[in-house]
Amino acid sequence: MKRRALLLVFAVLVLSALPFVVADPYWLHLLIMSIMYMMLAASVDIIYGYAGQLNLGQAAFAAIGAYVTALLMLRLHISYWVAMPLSGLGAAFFGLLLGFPTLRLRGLYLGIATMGFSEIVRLVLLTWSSLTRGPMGLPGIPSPTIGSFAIESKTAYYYLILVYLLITIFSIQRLVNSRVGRAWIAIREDETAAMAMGIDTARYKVMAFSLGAFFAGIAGSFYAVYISFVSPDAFKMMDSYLIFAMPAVGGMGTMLGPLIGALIIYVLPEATRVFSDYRMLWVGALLVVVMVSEPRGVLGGVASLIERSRRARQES
Amino acid sequence: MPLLDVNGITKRFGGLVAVAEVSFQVEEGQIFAVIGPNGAGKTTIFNMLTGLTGITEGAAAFAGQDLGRLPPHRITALGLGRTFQNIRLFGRMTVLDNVIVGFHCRTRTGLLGALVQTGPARREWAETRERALGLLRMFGLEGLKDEMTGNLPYGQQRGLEIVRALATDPRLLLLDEPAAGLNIAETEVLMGHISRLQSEFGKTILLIEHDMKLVMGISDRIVVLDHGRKIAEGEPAAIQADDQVIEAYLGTGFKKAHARG
Amino acid sequence: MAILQQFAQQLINGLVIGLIYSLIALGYTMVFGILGFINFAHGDVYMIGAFLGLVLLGTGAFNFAAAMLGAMILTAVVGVAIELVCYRPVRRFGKGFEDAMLVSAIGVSIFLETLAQVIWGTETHPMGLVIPKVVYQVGGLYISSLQVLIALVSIGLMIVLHLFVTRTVTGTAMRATAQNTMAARLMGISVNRIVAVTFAIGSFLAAAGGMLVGAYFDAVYPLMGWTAGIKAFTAAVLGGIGSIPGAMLAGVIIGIVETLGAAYISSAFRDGFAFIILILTLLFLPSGLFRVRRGEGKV
Repeated sequence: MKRRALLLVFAVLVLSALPFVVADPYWLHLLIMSIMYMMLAASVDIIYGYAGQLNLGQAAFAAIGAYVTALLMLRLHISYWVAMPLSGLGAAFFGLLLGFPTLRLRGLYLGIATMGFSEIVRLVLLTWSSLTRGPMGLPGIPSPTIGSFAIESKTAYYYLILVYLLITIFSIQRLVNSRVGRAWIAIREDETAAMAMGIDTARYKVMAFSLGAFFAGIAGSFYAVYISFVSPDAFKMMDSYLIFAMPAVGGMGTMLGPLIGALIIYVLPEATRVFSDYRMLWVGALLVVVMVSEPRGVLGGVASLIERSRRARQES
Repeated sequence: MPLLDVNGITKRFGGLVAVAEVSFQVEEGQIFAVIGPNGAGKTTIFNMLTGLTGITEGAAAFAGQDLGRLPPHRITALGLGRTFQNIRLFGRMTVLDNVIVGFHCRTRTGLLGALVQTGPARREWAETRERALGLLRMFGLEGLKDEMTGNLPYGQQRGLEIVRALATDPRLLLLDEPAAGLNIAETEVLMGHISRLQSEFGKTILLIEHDMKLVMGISDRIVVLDHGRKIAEGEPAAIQADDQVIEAYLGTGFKKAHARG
Repeated sequence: MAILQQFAQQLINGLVIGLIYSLIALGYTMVFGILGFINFAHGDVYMIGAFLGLVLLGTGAFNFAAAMLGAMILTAVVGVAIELVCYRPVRRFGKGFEDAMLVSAIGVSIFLETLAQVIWGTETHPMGLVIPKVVYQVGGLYISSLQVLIALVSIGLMIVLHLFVTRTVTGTAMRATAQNTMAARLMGISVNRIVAVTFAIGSFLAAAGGMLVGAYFDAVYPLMGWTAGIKAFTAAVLGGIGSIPGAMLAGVIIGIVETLGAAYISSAFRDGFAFIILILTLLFLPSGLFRVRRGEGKV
């Protein structure tokens, strides 16, 4: 137990030191975006990896968060530090809106419903021009400020998203190792049996959607100030697939799985400078390869290896 | 007042009548068995009582409370626990966690409490763990607490399902074919456990079973179903002698075997 | 009188497009009947069929009929290949991993869509004039030669499928496997082979649908599988997922509703009608028009 905590502290220290090691702004940008995607991957993992509810529209929540922040800061000149939590709550509200009507849907039917929801959000952002300026998007989103200090450098943004990620992971792990998390996993494993064991499955499913949406919304709000520009294309269907694929490939329902998945799916293609069209080829092929060889993802594969070597050692 | 009062319940699936006007009462502390050929509607009745499927006509009351419109999780909180005909444990969870889940309706920590880890939340979590371990210990399963349930041998999975149901702190325990797939020795152990549940824990048991030795051995009262209808009710001796029951289910060989003995 | 005539005209148009949806829906429903699995990538197989046909037409060596047949055969091979590489290996992990098949299907879908974009670009390709355009007039109603072709081909294929499923040994084996896989195995049926045949037939029909749609709208593009896929999926659900006659009927219903909706309510909302039908079906008639009871012992 203690060793694990020490490892984590070490990892955080290494991560904190990175901006001083990485000089190239392109790489720093890559790092920032990949940490943001890690956060998004973790957020969808709550809904799918733990609660077992297929969600192919997670990007919509990030889009909502991004737009809420953009609109509040540009139109009402609200401070980022107020806009950001409101973005999370706004996204969480939509999580509720999605969770309720879909309670009776399972599997692919639920997946399609979430895709429909995601498309509706995108279409609304695209066509409600009076509010969102439609396809032209909202440029010029100001940087967050703490007193007289403005978060403008890549390094500053890096630390911001790192803190967000750590809080996200910490919260999720806390919840998973609690009565709430056990209820989610029970629902994932066998919803009927969970009901028979006294779990109000409707409540917990909606809770999972809202919480997952909340963190995605916060990630979206980060995106808004980091890129300084949001448009309906910022988080589209393809991004939902991407975000979904990350825990699927890395290992669903685990702490590190979404993070590893984000690295493999987002960073690897970028780092090897492969043309962005090919990324989706990579993602599609990867999903198939992983499901065919080790459906529990990379982490699952590692766990299997450890299991097998442990058993081998026991026998000898 | 009987603990469970089933009054003329009927279940229709479209044109098919699965259960037709079945009535019986279960007194507190009894072991009450429901037997009959496959397809007689026994599990459907369980599903109706636990809220997993609706009651088309008729009513069922538990400790005076009408079960008709309640969702499954509220029925469990009222005090009805159950196991399933095809074992439905939570596969990718440890044995201990399965039992911990059983305590869900008896605990209260919510989203905020879990997130912030307040004093009461932490205490409740530790307490739940202790109680779960205690239950496992009582049934000799403590050593397996960290195993994935999927890895357990069949007999122990069946036992674990009962322990998990016990964690919900039921007054009435619905056991759906608990002896299915168990050999003679395991069935003896199961009989011992069920008797213990009645005598030591004060539980009332409603039991679906095909193993007649088990049923006749421990039941206080039996109701026999065939094609969704009740065809007999009474104490084990009376049921064994009942001609209708023998024809529909037990077979004449049974009567002869027991007449000889 | 003119109103009635217009209505009848739209009915015909709807019927024709609906027949194509039926063709595609059959692939969804047959695979579900046997595997209990909805092939998320089926719509993209349909799209690949259309593109393969386009390629064959482009060589100049084939006329429309030959290109369509060629595309159908090639797509059947593609469908079987997908099953062998992407789905069958997942099934060996046993019961706890049904979700993995779904995720794999999502991967296949993403892969196919991107592959098509990479090879053929994202723009829309015209299919060109495939058969001489003649417009027939029957009692004041207009039917184009293309519509007649679509109707003949679709209905013909569905008749052939019906005969195959009811009169041949393999077809009967398919029905047996769909009803009770365990028993089918015990009867000596090679379930793996039947599954492969099912994928082959489904893809075969989907490719026909793709070619016909490509010809009808004179448009082939990588994302066409997405819209048609959803509509065909809706048809499969509405018909009762697993029911072949259900899929045939429901496809036509959706085609008619969609065409009437586009004509009388809003043509821009055309694609939305199927979605509404899907939502209504899931909410009020989830088992569909022809309810299919699933047997025990699924693969």
